[in-house]
Amino acid sequence: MMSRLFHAGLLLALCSLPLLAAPRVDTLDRQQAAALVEASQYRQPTLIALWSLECGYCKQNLAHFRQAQQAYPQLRLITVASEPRLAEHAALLASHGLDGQHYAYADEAPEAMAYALDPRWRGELPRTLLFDGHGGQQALSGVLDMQRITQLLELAD
Amino acid sequence: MLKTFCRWLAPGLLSAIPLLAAAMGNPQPGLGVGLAAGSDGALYAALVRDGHLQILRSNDLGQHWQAHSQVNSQAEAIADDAENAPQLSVSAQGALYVSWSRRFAERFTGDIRFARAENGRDFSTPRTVHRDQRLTGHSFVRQHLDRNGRLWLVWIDGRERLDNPAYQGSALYASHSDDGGRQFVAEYKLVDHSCQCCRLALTERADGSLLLFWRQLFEQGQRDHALLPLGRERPGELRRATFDGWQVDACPHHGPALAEDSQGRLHALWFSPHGEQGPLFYGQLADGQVLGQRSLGGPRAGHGAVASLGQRVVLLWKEFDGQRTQLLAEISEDGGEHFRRVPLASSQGPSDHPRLLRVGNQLLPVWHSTDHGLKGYPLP
Repeated sequence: MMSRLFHAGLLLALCSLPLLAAPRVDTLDRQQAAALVEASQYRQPTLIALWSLECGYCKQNLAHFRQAQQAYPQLRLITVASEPRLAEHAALLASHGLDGQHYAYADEAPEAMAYALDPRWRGELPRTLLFDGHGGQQALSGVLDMQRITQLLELAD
Repeated sequence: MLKTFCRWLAPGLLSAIPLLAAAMGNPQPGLGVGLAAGSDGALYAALVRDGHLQILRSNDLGQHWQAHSQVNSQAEAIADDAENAPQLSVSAQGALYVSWSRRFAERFTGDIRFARAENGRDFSTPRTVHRDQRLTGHSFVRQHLDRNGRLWLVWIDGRERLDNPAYQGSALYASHSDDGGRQFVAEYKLVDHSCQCCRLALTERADGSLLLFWRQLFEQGQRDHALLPLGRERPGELRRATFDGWQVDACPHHGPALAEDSQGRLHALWFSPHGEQGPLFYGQLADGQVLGQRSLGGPRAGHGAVASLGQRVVLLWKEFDGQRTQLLAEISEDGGEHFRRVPLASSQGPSDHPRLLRVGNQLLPVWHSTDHGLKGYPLP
């Protein structure tokens, strides 16, 4: 009996590997969001990608960020889904093969989160926060391709 | 053997996913609400609860609400976010018409649904409005019942992309019914290359024609706004209505608002986060230009509503002040020459877009916030 249960458990574990391999997505409240964008903590080039499941351009960006990650291993990537956490977030991040820290909004007013992350951001997506690793930071809306990311973060030098 | 076992196990795992999702996060229920006022002054609201559209009724301008009826007996995935909220109209005889965007499991796909209650309470089985059955996006429906009893539905439609992946943006399609929603004409295309994710504004003019106002993709990816008259027989000509030249490959998820006053002036609110000014703009739309364009509110103002009654013009929006989300209004008694500012409410938690209703001889702001629930805010 025990052995059968063990085997069933093993099979369950094997079958659900793709689910288990999905990255962890933590929730972020407004205080944590404000802490996350504190530039002085970043000692290496870092991207914070703000995205949502409904945003098509965001997925183009995630693909570009994956490319950038592969080309420049020193690049650190953080993603923040600008909506309450859903199982689909982890699934989509897994399908893009993105390494990094991943977050989604806690149960907060989206405008409070937007203000904490980037007071100049008006909610349009994708929005990308770039940290050069020396205390410098900038923020841009829209699609960023590899060339632009490389140039903005001076990755090629 | 493992494969067979997995196939057997898979349905069990799949059925666990919604539960997992519920356990993982705490996705807030959608706050998007559809609102309408009856000729007797009663307010009606359509809200989504667990896949069902519930109708609430208020006899005191939105201070208290009573459960009135349920639209769909079978639960379905009804879009209930503020930008893509259910639509509700009440006829002069008290019939209720409801439409909404249903989401399919695959992202960006869905259809436009409709149900009617001739007696104002017992709803027909919901039906899909359009003939197009392909798996693509039909969403952001906007409904309007005009003074002649024609029921209009306009929505954002993704079908052009199925045949042409290089197609820019989405198309706008429309249908209408002249028999209280029993039958709808086959849908027809209004325009190409609209923005994909911004609510549409539809307003009725003094002459009974409708004006559609929405975010359009212009040359070089400029996401400005356009106007299209919808005559009884055929749509008129598209004309560009805003000229901000905001150029970005991004989803603003932030549609405009429009109202006509008794002098025929078109009062518009729209969002365009370019330059250093606040992103929410007010202006009067004229031929080829905007008169009196100015920022409304500060750098975090958004999701405006506008309505007019006689010479009164009301601008309503929400704005985060660093701590709380404020509900603010500007009121003009002279057709938009002069405005005074009136703070109405604030909420710490999430909230719906502010909405404006005409109830008899007044314009009434209504706001659905987690702090105060669904509530009317009568103006001075």
